[in-house]
Amino acid sequence: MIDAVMYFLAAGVGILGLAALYRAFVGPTATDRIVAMNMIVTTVVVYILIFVYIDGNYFFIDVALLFILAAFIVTLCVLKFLREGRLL
Amino acid sequence: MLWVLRDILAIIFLLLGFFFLAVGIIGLIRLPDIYNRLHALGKCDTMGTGLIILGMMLLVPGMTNVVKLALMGALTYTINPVMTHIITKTAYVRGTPMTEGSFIISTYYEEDEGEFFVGEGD
Repeated sequence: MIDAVMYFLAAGVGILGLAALYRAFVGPTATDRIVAMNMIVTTVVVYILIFVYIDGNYFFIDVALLFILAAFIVTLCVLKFLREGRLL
Repeated sequence: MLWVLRDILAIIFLLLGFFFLAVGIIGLIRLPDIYNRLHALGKCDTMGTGLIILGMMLLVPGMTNVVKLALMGALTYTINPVMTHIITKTAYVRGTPMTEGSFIISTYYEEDEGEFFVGEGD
């Protein structure tokens, strides 16, 4: 039962990530693309968690944790570049 | 019996989290403006990820994995609203145009003496 739910979630979250990728492709401004990138990161984190259960390898939780932190730093850097025109 | 109850509770949390993520993505696709999209996504993203992490906390074995997942949930619930705020303020400072019929009640303009007024457009 729960395996079927996990496979359904994997397929559904993949479709959601592709929809966010559509917004990143179409989106008229730069901040739209940043929002879409943020959402893609969220879907990838959820996908890693689903993969943790399906594969049974629980060390990938650390990968998801690092993914959240790295995406936060990357988004901060891109927003600072957009706002001030330089990074340092 | 208790395992069946745990599985049912985990399935409820996971599907509810997926529902919130799907609603946020629909808002991201269909709404007309960056501010509207952030309004839809900034809440549904946090809620969906938190519920999915809560559902996974019921499924993983061992106390270490549960604590790691709780740390992930705490980080998500702190980082996502901060990021939504920063993205919104950056869009405002850059002068991203709004849709027709919306208006600004400006608080940044008085604080920063006109430095952050809506610019020339994106």
